[in-house]
Amino acid sequence: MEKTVQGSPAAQAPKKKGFLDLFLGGGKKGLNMWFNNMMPSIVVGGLLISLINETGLIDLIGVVLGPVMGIFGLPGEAAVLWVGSFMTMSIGILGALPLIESGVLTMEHVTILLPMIMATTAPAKIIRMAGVAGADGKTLKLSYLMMFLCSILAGLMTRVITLIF
Amino acid sequence: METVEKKEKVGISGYAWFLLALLFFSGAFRGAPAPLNLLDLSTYLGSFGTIVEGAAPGILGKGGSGLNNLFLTCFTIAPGVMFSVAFMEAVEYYGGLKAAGKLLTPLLRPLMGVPGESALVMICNLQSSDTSAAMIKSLYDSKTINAVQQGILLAFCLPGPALLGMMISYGVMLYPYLLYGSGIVIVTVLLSKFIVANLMRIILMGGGKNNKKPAAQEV
Repeated sequence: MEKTVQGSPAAQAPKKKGFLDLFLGGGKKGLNMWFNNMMPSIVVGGLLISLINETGLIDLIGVVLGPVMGIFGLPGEAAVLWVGSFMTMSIGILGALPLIESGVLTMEHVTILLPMIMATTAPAKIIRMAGVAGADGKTLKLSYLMMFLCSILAGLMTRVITLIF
Repeated sequence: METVEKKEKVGISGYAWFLLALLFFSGAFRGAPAPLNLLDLSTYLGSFGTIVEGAAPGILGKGGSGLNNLFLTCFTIAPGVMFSVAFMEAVEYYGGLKAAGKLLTPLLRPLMGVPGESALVMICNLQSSDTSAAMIKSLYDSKTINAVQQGILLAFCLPGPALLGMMISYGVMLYPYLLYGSGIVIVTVLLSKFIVANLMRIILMGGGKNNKKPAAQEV
């Protein structure tokens, strides 16, 4: 590697970035995120969704949890997506796509469901974050409960909004 | 670290970028007439064409299933992810996030019972999970917040961390099926985070006497 000449524009470059460089760099970062994080996650999501679908588990969950999901104005099948996203968010998002195509989920359903999915956090991440933040066990347990409540609240809030507008 | 960040100045451009980001990702101008639609993400993303009549836009086709279909779906969101991340990079670089933190600072004590220094934790939480957790720890270690306030901030940060990042990556796949702009999702989740943080505040303050950690000064 060559040494950068002192005082050359390149040596001072990191201080100030041009807009285009910045945007291009951001695009690369986004591509990296998509390629390295999102693309691989469909393998896990696809496996679980196919298992749930092919074993008929989705119908069972739909019947059992139907009344619960009814509170949010959602069909019972949406329970799979919601419960699944507490494990990993990709189940909720990717699993919704076939249900939308088959007409089980309408636009109204998606509008209510997406905030509920977005408010979830995977257990591993919760434990890691609580550990990094230096919280004790009691706070961790309470925070977990709060995350669950937050998802319910977000769903109820959007449900009310869809009813009004 | 917190004292350094507190003193950092936010210029007009920072506020302008913050406003721009708000409009851009909220979808407020989705489908608006000509000059205004420049303020909406979907204007830049455009749409895929259909290959044959009746097929879904882009390379998806119709009636696909399983991993194959997921692969193509995931493929089609790449432009949106790249563009959104690039835009957020610009917002962050030009001080948009710092401006948001500054606007939030005076509201924090009455709204959540935490000092204004916590604003950056909450703004950072929109973009990243672990960094915001680390910031809570450093605020606690420097005695800027006490154990109760640490719990309040954690309750805010834990549900849906990196909300913006998740929305512009995973959420993008469901954007076409939303009744309103994506802003509705961000607003409802943020509001819910505020509410549960306050619930945590009530719980922790109620059981304050049993708290093993010494709660510093005021709450």
